[in-house]
Amino acid sequence: MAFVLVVDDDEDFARAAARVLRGEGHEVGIVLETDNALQVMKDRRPDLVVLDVMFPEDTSAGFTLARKMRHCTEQLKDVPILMLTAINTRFPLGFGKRDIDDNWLPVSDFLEKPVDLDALCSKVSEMLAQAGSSS
Amino acid sequence: MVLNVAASVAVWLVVWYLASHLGEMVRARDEELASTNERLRAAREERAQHMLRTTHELKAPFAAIHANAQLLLRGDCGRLTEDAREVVRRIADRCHRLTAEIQEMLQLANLSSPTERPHQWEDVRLDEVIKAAAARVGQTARERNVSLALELEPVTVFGVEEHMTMMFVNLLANAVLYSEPGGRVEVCCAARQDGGPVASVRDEGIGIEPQKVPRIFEPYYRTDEAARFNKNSTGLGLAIVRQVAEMHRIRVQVETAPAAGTKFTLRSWPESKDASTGAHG
Repeated sequence: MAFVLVVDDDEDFARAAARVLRGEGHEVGIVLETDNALQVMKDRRPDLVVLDVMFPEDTSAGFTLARKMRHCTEQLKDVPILMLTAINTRFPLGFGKRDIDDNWLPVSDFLEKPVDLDALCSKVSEMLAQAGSSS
Repeated sequence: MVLNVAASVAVWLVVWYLASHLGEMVRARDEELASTNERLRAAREERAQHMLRTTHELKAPFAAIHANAQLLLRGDCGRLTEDAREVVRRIADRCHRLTAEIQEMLQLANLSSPTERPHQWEDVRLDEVIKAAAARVGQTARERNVSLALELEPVTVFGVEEHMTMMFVNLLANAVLYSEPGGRVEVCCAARQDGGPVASVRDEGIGIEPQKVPRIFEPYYRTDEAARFNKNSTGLGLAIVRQVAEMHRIRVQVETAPAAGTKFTLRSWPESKDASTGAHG
């Protein structure tokens, strides 16, 4: 069992994702804003973060949060990040693996919304297993 | 003599005046053009940002509805009757289709809009692009019992790989979706010595009436026959094909007849920078 944090401003989606991940045996927290997400993670380090990109006040707040986790906090720099998004703000034709890089998009993997919940569960399991074997 | 000198001076003065004045006019015109270009660029950027935001605002609710419908279908909220499951399945399917439509609208709108990352023009292996596109429509082809036959020579062209992939995904998806079960789709690419690289996608599907062909690349246009045959079509696939082809100055030829199928042939590809039409490594 792992502690998974879902950071998404869409409460309906976040609750559905949390429900299905709880069904897989994980403990799941939800944060609806990026402002306090970093503090929540510092208070209790998640084993994995499911992170949205666009938030109401900032269209790329998810990217900013991912960069802060990777570059500004020793405690959170290795937390796997699964990015969920409806669009790609840099190249709006859909995400590709080539979008992932340490400075622009420092995430471990991504899924495009609408997310298949079975795919979400298996991706989370896969990433947790990978993190477990590399730590 | 004095008159001649005076006349020459006068002529030179006039020429000098006109030249300097013209120079000023050209400079003023250049500045005006630069300013107009800047305003246009800013307007395009604003439009792209607006489109992005609008698309997100449209897609996000469907993602939430889709996720919650899946919860019901998976039985996470208790067992549903078969009738209820069917209704929820329809909701989930419709959400998925609408999301795909929004995605295609976004792709079409943003193909020629400025983005933070400039389009990456590079040498692209056309055969690899087609293979990747075929893999993406493979599942649909299997579900519809349509076979995909690829005859691909190594060909390198110059372009934006994501755009080319998008173009072939749309061409192949159309060929598969408008084929009868048991049909066959042939996809070829070759490096012709005389006319440069050529690619083609041919199906044995429902075809198009000749008088309707000029309109098939218009956004949202669907023939009645196509709409009847495939209710899920958005009418945007060929508009995306046209947009990508225009950006790359590729010539698209359509040969079709009702009930006999359709063949799209793509010619005049931008050549690889090193002018080689063969494989790279």
